[in-house]
Formats: sequence, C-alpha cells, structure tokens
Amino acid sequence: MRPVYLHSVGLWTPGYADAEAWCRGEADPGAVEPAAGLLVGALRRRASALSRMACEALQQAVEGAGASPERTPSIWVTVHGEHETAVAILDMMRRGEGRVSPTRFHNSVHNTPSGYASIATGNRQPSTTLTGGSEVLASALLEAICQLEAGASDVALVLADEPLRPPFDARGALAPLAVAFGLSSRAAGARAALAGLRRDAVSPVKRREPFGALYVAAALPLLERAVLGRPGTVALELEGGADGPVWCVDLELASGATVRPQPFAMLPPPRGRNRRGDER
Amino acid sequence: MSSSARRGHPVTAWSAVNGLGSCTEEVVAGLRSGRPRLSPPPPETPFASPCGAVLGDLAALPPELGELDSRNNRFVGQALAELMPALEAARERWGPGRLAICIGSSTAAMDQIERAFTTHAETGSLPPGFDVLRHGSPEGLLVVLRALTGIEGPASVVSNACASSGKAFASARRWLDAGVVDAVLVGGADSLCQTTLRGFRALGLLSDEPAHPFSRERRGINIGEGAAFALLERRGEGPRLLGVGESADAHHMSTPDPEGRGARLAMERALADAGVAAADVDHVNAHGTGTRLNDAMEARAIRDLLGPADPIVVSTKGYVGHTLGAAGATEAVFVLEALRGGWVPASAGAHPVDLELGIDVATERRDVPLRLALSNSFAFGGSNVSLVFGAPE
Repeated sequence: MRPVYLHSVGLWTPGYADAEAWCRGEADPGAVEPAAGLLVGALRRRASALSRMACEALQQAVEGAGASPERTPSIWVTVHGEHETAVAILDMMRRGEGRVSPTRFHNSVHNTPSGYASIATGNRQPSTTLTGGSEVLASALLEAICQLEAGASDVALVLADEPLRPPFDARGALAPLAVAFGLSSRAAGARAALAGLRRDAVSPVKRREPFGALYVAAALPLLERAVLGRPGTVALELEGGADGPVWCVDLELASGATVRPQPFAMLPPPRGRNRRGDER
Repeated sequence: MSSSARRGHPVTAWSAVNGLGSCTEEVVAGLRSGRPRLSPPPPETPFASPCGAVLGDLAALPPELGELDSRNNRFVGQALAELMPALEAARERWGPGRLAICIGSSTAAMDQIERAFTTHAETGSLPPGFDVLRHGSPEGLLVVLRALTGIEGPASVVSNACASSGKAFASARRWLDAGVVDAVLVGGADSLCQTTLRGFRALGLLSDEPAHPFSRERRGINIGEGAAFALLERRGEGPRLLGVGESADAHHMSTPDPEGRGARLAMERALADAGVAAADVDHVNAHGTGTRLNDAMEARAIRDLLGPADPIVVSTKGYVGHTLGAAGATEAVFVLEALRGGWVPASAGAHPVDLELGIDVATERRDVPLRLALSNSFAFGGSNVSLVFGAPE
C-alpha cells in the first residue's frame, strides 16, 4: 500500500482555539466560539454548535496541509451526532401539537457538519460520516488510508462530539471537542508517517478531563504526538471499552524535510486472542 | 488498478427483512408479484401516512444480548440468521480477523430513545439501565453484529442519512481493493420512529397515501424500515459489485440540486470506477423517493448520462417505503436478485408515469437478461452514492 503521511492537525474546544494552544496547555478564556470562517451568512446562522466546531477543525487541518478546501474528500466521525438538535426535536414532540421544526429536522442527521462544509466550500468530493463505538477512530483511519490507496492525494479526517444532554447520561463529559487530521499520500512537508494499523496489546487511551467518556478524546494522543514530535505506537481506543487488544497505529516522524517512504500496512490482530482477550 | 480489481468483487450471499416480508424469500416474492405491502404508521403518529413496517413477530436476540434487544437489532438478527451458513463458510475460508463489517444506519434504534425520553418526561427518570449509546445508537448495533457473526476484523458504521448503506458498499469496495480484508459483511438497518415521520412531514415531503415514484401524481415519500445484508468476498460466485461513485451536491441540506449535477457525478464516478460504458447499463434502481423534486432531478441526471442506453428505471420504494439508512442495502439486494434472475420489478405506484421525465419507467415486471445495473442513493446534506453491479460471470 502507498505510504500515508500526516501533514496537519486541527482542534477546537472551549478555551483552546487550535491544536498548538492545546498542546502548550495555554488556555484562552476568550476562545468561546469557533471561528469556522468558512461558514458565512445563513449557513453560519443555521449551523449547530457541533457543525461550527467541526468545520473549524476541518478548516485548520485542510489549510495546515496546504490542501484545497473545495477538492479534498473528507471523513467525519461523530458518535453522538447532532445530539443537541435530536434532544430539541424530542422536546418539540412532547409539547403542544408535537410538531417538529423542518430546519431542526434536516440538521439532525449525523452528516450535518459535512453537509454544511460542502455547501460552504462548493466541495463535491466524497464525504463519509462514521459513527459507532470505541473502534470509531480506528475505522475512520482505515477509511482514510483506503481512500488514499484508491487514489486520493489528500483526505481530511474530522472528529467531533458534544457531551450528552439531560436527561441522558453525559458519562463524565463536560466539554465538546473537535479534532482533525490532514492526511496525504504526499511526502513533502509531512509532519509524520503512519504505519501498521492493527489491534495489539497496548494500553487504551486514558480518559481526560473535561472530556470524560467522549470517544473523540481518543484522538488526542495522536494529535499531541504529531504536534510535539514524539514517535511511537499510539492507541486509538478510549479506556472503558471491551477487554483485549486495542486498535493502535505507529507514528513515525519526519527526518529532515521529508519522511522516509514507509508503505502502510494493516497488520492482522495478534494470534490466539479474540476481542475479549480470551485464549482460544 | 489491476484487471482483477476492475472485475470487482462477488456478492456471495444476501438477505433482507422489510415491509414486504420477514425473510428474503418472502421479500423477493412480493417484489416479483408487483404488490406493495404498506401499513398504517405506528399508533403514536398524529397523522395518516402509509409505512413500510415490518409485520409479524420478530425473533428475540439470544439471551446474552437481551440487554440490547430493540426492534432495529431484531431486524438485524433476523436478516443475519439467513446468512449464517455463508458467513461461517467465509470465516472458515478467510479467518475471522480478515472479515470486516461495514453497515449503514441513520436513525438506528431512535424509537428506543424516544420511548426513554417519554418515560423520563412522565416519571422523572429514564428506564432503569438505559444508555443512549448502547440502546439507541449504532454502538449497540456493532456489539450485536460482532457477537452474532464472530467477525474480528474492522467494523464500521456509516451514517450519511439516506445514503448510509449505499456508502457502506463504497467503503467495503475500497477495503477489499486495498487488500486489508478478504470479505466484508455490508448492510443497513433502520427502524420507524416519530422523529423521521414527523420530520419529513414538517418538510412537506411525506405523502398521506401510498407513494407514486416517477408518476405524474407523485406527492411525497412513505417511510419504511428493515435490514439488508450482502456478503462481499475477494473470490467467489455471484453477481459482482463492479464500481462505486460518491459525490456531494454542495447545494442545500435537504433539497437536491434541481439540475441533478451531484446525482450525475455519483453515477459517472461509479461507471468510471467500474471501467464500464454508460451504453452498457441495462437497469437503474433509482433513489426514486416520490417527491416532485427528487424524481425530476434524478430522471434528468439519468437522461443526461445514460440517455442513449435507455435503461429500465424503477423505484422500489413503492413496495417498502423509504427505509432511510437501510435503503441502499435494501435496494442493492433488489438489484442482486434482478441480475441473478434476469428480471426487473415493476416500479410500484409509477402509473400514470410522468412522461416529462423522459426515462423508461417499468410499470410492469419485465423478464429480461441484465448485464449491468446501477443502484442510487441520495441523502440530506447532499450526499450521493451510486453502485454498479454486474450479472454473475
């Protein structure tokens, strides 16, 4: 398979306007609203908080990779989806005549952020939204790698989620988080290369405040290692999932101007153990 | 791309559960007979609109998965039960770590979330142990799929609204082409819920009578539910997934581009990916929702791209309603049956056909050998996918 390079990252969470600020630990109390400059006018007014922060992370990653906003295919991850909108609709159905707002409804699908981004940038390239459970970051990386293998030169990967709202259990999450990666088959200008996506006997990613059990937070170690220049094997699943091998990937750093070309391979899971780690 | 990749990947087994029946045989018999089976909406629905509801009793999940019991997961269990011999053979052939899951779902078990929310509003607390992720969202769906199939490779849920399970085929094709897995269980599952019924009603897109896709009398959609699966393998016998094409409209969140540019682009990319000519397409299982705008823009895209081939176009949403996230997989199963059996189902509800559409809509079943067929799915967010399937070699 073709080598896979990580060119750029994006991040937005309240208090941190980008990945560099997050990695330096420099909170900015002024960062209360994502810039999301690509959303203007009516699009901006109608976009949910989730869509705005996801679009902001996308924009950072695409610009950081020097990729084209209107020509880069994208992969989006959201486990909770447009949860605020979904709960607002549930509330509307309980009240009055049980009517639902049409705008709220078309904003309720998981691919709402990617819809807004494609309309805002005039991007007609494929865009896939993934959801699921603890494996969702690994699935999204696999999807990105296979799109690069199929011929895309750049792919943007965006992950965003908000804490669940009452009456649902927020599982310890107090803040929303959006993270993005600019991935490419181009070596020039890359920060790092990825190799060996697999399940292995590594420790899952520790939960971190204020994100509790938000699965998106599983992407923070990959982002931090890329920004801070720390190679190694990076877990892609948050703790609290099933026992047994954990999805992970090897991050290799740039030496000099380019990263050495490392063909990407997905390795099979370790032999003799199933998902729950039992001996067979 | 190698020549073997260009010939695509065989679909060695498939199954479907929906309004036409609770097993594939019943579903296909209904499709061949040309008789839709629509029912009244769920009792809590405050208006009339026929639905493609799965009727009859559904088998419960095994006791160890009882906590994840839901209507949606029962569809999955029921449709998978038929596929177990093929799945076991594939697991034996390739190894459980080389088998993957890629499923599309838009609302998943949203009906469970709605009920839990109502319980909370009425009693002040959620049902005991209710967890929105495990019981109402695709996380629980993946747990059920892994447990029932023993598949240990990658597992993914695509959620691009009504294009979800069509796009699951696109991902599966890429995974197989890249060589990272040897077989993929592709599918889709969605169940009726108030959010979608009332939401489509609010948008003025829901028909209060059986839908009439491609008819001049079309007035909107019916909603359906169900699950459908297809097993794609690196080698094997069966009709073949030859190509996939995806695009975005970049136009509007819930209204398709009236010029059909995104729809056409998806079909163009699918044909290019398959390495086949537009002239060789015999049949299109259209998205064909039955709204004024969708059918007009889709017909335009088909006419513009496939005009000289004059393929037989049908919408099968008249039989089972629009099964949303399950629609792509459900309609792929209909196309696989058509390619294997050499027949195109009648486009239920199409009479009297809207002649201004300028496409050949089948109002009766046609028994004709088929070489190539397209299956289209379009979604909110302007997300489009088109799949090219070929007859068994």
